[in-house]
Amino acid sequence: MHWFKDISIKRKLTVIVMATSAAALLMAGAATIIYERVTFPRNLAQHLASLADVVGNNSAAAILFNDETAAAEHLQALQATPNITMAQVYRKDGSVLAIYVRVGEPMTTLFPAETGVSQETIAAEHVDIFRPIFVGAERVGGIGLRSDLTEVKVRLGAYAQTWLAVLFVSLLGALGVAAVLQRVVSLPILNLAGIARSISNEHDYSQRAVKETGDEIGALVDDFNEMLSQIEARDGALTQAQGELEKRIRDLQREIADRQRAEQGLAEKTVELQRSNAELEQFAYVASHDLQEPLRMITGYTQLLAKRYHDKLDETAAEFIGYAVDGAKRMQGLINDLLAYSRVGTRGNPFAWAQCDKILSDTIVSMKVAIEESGATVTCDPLPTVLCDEGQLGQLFQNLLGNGIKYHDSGAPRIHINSRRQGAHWLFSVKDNGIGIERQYHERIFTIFQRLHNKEQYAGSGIGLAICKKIVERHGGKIWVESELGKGSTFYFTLPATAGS
Amino acid sequence: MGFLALLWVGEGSSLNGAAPTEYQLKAVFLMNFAKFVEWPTTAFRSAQNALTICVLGENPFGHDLDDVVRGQVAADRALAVKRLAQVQREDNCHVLFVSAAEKARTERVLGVLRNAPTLTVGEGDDFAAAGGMIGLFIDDNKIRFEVNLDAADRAGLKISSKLLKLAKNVRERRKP
Repeated sequence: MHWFKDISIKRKLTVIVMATSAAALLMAGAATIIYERVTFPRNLAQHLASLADVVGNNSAAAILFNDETAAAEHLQALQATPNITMAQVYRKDGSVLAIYVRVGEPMTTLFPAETGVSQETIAAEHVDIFRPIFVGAERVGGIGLRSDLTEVKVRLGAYAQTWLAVLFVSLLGALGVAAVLQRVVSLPILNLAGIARSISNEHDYSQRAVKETGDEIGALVDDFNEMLSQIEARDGALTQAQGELEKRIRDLQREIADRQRAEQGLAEKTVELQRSNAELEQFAYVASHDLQEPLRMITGYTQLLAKRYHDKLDETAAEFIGYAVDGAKRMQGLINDLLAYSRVGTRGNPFAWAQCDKILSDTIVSMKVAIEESGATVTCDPLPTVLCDEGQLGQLFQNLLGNGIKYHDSGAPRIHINSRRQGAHWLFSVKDNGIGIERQYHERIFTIFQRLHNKEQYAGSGIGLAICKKIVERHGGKIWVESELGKGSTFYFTLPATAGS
Repeated sequence: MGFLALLWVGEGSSLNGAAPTEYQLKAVFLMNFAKFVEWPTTAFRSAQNALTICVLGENPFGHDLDDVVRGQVAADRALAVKRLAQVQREDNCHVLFVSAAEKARTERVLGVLRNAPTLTVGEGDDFAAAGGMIGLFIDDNKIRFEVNLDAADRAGLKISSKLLKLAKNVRERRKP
């Protein structure tokens, strides 16, 4: 049956119709032939009985008058019935009066025994009939007939031939009918298959199969179309999403390009800025260094003037000279501060690994006098080892500790230094219990020469925190303060925890 | 008569086991003729009336005819045997046998019974020609008979075609 699975539905339907027709015809034909085979001998027996009655009745007188010739003549009439192979007329005592034998048949005795009742023997090859013969109510003898069954064979042969002809014609007709009727089933399926193939080839999901029938194929067409609608909707959504994605990618690429341009511009600007900054630092250093020489002359000669001519000048002149000396000294201080500030950028040492604990303790030792005078308490938690300019880091600690001690009004200053890891940085804090700083000044205090207090309140040039900021920034960190007025201040600064950043 | 090895007469017949004589056979013939002849109803006085076989004059059968006929039935009637010295219409014979010995009286007897419903059976091949209905004769060692259909017709007797088929010769009806 494997071949049957692979042939087209069209052919399958045709084959089914043909096979069904053939099977029905075969069964009908077989039934007819079997029926004929079974009933024919019986019908034949009945027919033979009638024939025997007629011939027997005619032979009655011949029996009574023992006329063998007449009896034989009566039997001879059976020649007209060619399927009768043998006939015998019996006397009343069962003896044979006359015999008829078809040409070529052997002679046997059909019903040898004396019998008064009808008998019927249906054998495979022949049918035997015995009928008693009466004259009035008196049984005078009997007659026996034997018929072969060639007629059955002939008729069955004829049936078979007819049936074969009918089979042939019917199958031809069935083929025609199947050719027409199979379209009812196969056409919608073929249409559906065609649409499916077309969709598969062209990827055009807007196509739809046409529903032609209300049967299962119609339902299949509906489901198929429904599926197509879903695919189409999904396809559309997908296409739209893809479009959006592409647009977003284009936007992103544009943005990346913009940023790259901006970064490049920034990098150029940074280089430019670094160059100009370096130039500026160099200028500041050179300027402040070169300013010292004429300033020393002013100071020296002014002091010489005051020393040599103090008795020739009046008090007012002495006072003026004092102002000039004082101004020169202040200028000297400013220049020193400026130099110190510019040295951070221009005269720094290369970075090396250093223990902050040791740097801090050295700083505290160097500030011993100031700490003892103010009665301050300095505490610290363990500090890490960092990559730094050791001298500058000491300066940083010194400035912050100095501020903690200096900006204090009552009681003993308490300063605590702490550090903790925060991502790629160490976060240092220097907490004091000093006067605090208003929020609005939290930025300003890191600007050079910015002071919040006058010289009479707290001495200083306003350079300390500016230097701190510069040192921290040189190390790649940030510095800021958290404070409120009267509640102490905490200075925070970060240093990179790893090399190279 | 040796060819008749077996006969078809009823059981208990005295003929059993021996070759039948000519008149034994002729007795059977007489009885069987009665079975193939139809008499007009006027031939019988009543429904119960027996069918009478008469033998005229000299009786060649002895007791054979009585033995053959005993217990036999023809046309639903019992059979009886009667011997007559003279023939009269009033004798009411249904079958009359005229033996060869009574040949001389044949013409007169037939004249008396003219058109009467009596089946006249005689011996010799001239009996039917003389106006008798059935004539018995010997042919090729066999008892044969001829039928004068005209005589039977005139007497109102219907002889079965089955019987006629066995007849050696049938004298047809004369054209009216």
